[in-house]
Amino acid sequence: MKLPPGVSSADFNAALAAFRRIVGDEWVFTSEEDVMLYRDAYSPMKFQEDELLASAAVAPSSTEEVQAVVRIANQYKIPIYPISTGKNLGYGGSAPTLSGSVVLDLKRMNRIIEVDEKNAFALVEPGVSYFDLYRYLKDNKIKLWIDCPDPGWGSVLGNAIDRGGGYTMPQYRNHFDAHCGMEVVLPSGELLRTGMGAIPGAKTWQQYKTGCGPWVDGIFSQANYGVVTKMGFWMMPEPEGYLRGVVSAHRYEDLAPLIEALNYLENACIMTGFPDIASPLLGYPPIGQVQLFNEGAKAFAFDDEHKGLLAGATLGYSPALEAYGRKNNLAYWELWLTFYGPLEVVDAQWRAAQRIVSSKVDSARYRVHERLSLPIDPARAHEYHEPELGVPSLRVFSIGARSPFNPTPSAGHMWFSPIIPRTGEAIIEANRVFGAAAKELDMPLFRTFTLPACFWERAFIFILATPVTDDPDVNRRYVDGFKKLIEIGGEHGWGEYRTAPVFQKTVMDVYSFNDHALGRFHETLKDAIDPNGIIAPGRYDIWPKRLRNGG
Amino acid sequence: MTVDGLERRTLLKAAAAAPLLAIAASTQPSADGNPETSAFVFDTRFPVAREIASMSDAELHPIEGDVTALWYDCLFHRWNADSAYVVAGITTVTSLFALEQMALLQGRRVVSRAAVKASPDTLFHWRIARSTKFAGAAP
Repeated sequence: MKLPPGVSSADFNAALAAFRRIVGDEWVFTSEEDVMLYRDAYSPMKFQEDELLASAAVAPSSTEEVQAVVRIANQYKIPIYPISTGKNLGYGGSAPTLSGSVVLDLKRMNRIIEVDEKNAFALVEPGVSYFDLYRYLKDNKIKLWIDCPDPGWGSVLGNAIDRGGGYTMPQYRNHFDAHCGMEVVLPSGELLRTGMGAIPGAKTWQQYKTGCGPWVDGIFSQANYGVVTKMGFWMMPEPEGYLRGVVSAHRYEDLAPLIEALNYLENACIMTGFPDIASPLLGYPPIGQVQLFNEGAKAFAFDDEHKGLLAGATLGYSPALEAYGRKNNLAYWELWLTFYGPLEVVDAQWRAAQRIVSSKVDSARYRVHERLSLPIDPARAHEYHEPELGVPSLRVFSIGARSPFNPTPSAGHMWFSPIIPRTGEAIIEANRVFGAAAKELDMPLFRTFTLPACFWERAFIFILATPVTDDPDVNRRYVDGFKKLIEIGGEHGWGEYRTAPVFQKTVMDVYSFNDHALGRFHETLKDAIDPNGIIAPGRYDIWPKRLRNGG
Repeated sequence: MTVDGLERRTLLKAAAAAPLLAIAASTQPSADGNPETSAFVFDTRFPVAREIASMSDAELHPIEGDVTALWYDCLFHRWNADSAYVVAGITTVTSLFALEQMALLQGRRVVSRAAVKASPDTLFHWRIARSTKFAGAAP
């Protein structure tokens, strides 16, 4: 067992004994067999000396127990690393940022405290997964939808404080933005409620976000200033209908005006669902359809001429490739636009969307891909991308099987996910910059051309899965290359939105305006709020004074 | 069930290399100290998985890669209701990974796993059961 830095065996054992008195013997884990369950299943450093590993884990069942555990951690200066359900895979999983930390496993705190159907909100504890909340809604016939990532196994609260995203309306699929009110155990063990929850007997904790005065909720996301033990969420009323329309354009130059149209449709709330960008000609399916493509029915099967043209294209373009697309009716670009609401409303929105897109791309073509009256039979959800219908799924793991679209399944992945502007020009520029860098670094990130994801309003995520292999040397090379890509992104004004512990220092170094003023502010807060530095030391490169600068 | 020569050889090789058939078919307590296998999960896309499943006495659960319905409709309830409910299977590594992650939330873990060569993917045969003590067990 690797002890936390600067903690003696005697103190560590005394702390564990105290933890046992708080939560019971059976909820403190110290055997290698148990502790290894908290390793990052996708760690690129697996089985290497520098793999981030916990020393132990403790699983409280209530806020009061969390407070007591935190007080003991303070007494003995034990670093504790809170996790919810620990499913943050691709971004670090449940492994701590500092080896030797004790994982504070909150999955026993899995109570759905309140769901208010009329006002469309929920209040949950950290151990509530998207599946749990979905099951609760179904069992109680509550006509609200969850918005979940894909896969939907994670914690509603945990994904929100990691600033994850989903697939329905923008105000719900930005999971942190969808929250309303937190309860937080501070490093001192003191209990804090944010927003209206700061009023004893508050009547609107989950209905008005900011309360009065400074709104502090943001400092508890991607951070280490406290342990969030309750969180409210605004939820989406079950819509009456769903329409997905596809816009096709056949010219490379159509990309920029298509994105302009997309932005207008979303910013003006004409399109209300998840937008997706695809390219049948370049072999790039919409994100929300990857499983469907992968499962074979729509897998891309290119002929030799097509493959040759793709190989000869520059930044996804050549006149011959464009001509091939026209000849074979393969669109260069597709926008997949989704709409939620009464069918008469979504039909009208789709008509308006076509008119607006045509004003920018006069040759655009249109088709309706899906038009559903909701709710559908749950058994039919499998025919669609379930998360876009408010249904959690594990189907993404069927992608592991080899297929034409996924010929070399990996042992895991690290998400490279810089935020870039929402323009066609930025997409091409990101392909140019990262494509050249990845080639030089021999990183297997790119095919012919990469299209970004539209999880957030106003900006794209240029998201790429860097494979984790079974070869430690290859993994180390990929980690170094990944860090270099982060730096290159920073040089172009792009930064990651979220990252795994192994990359957090490199990422936060990019956020360096005015001699790292933001990072210094984070540390000022850390010193004031958590003087002993016990909560998740090093998370997003926020280190307590005693461990700063290699201390 | 008829299998082609290649798959038959694969099956025989696998059976020789590991207690695969025992895991699939046995209704006796296993060597790892866990009770008999209650359910057997197999990926119907692979002939070798179908063949082994046909030899199992346990309740059969066919999948095609996706384990969502299996877990949501069946295993979630069985694992909550019966601490002795043991699941074995032969699936791709990603299907196993998804089930393993869900099992951890319900106080189970993978107690054995071994690779089996198959085409086009390597398959894994595995067993998920409650151990003496589980990190992260649900209340």
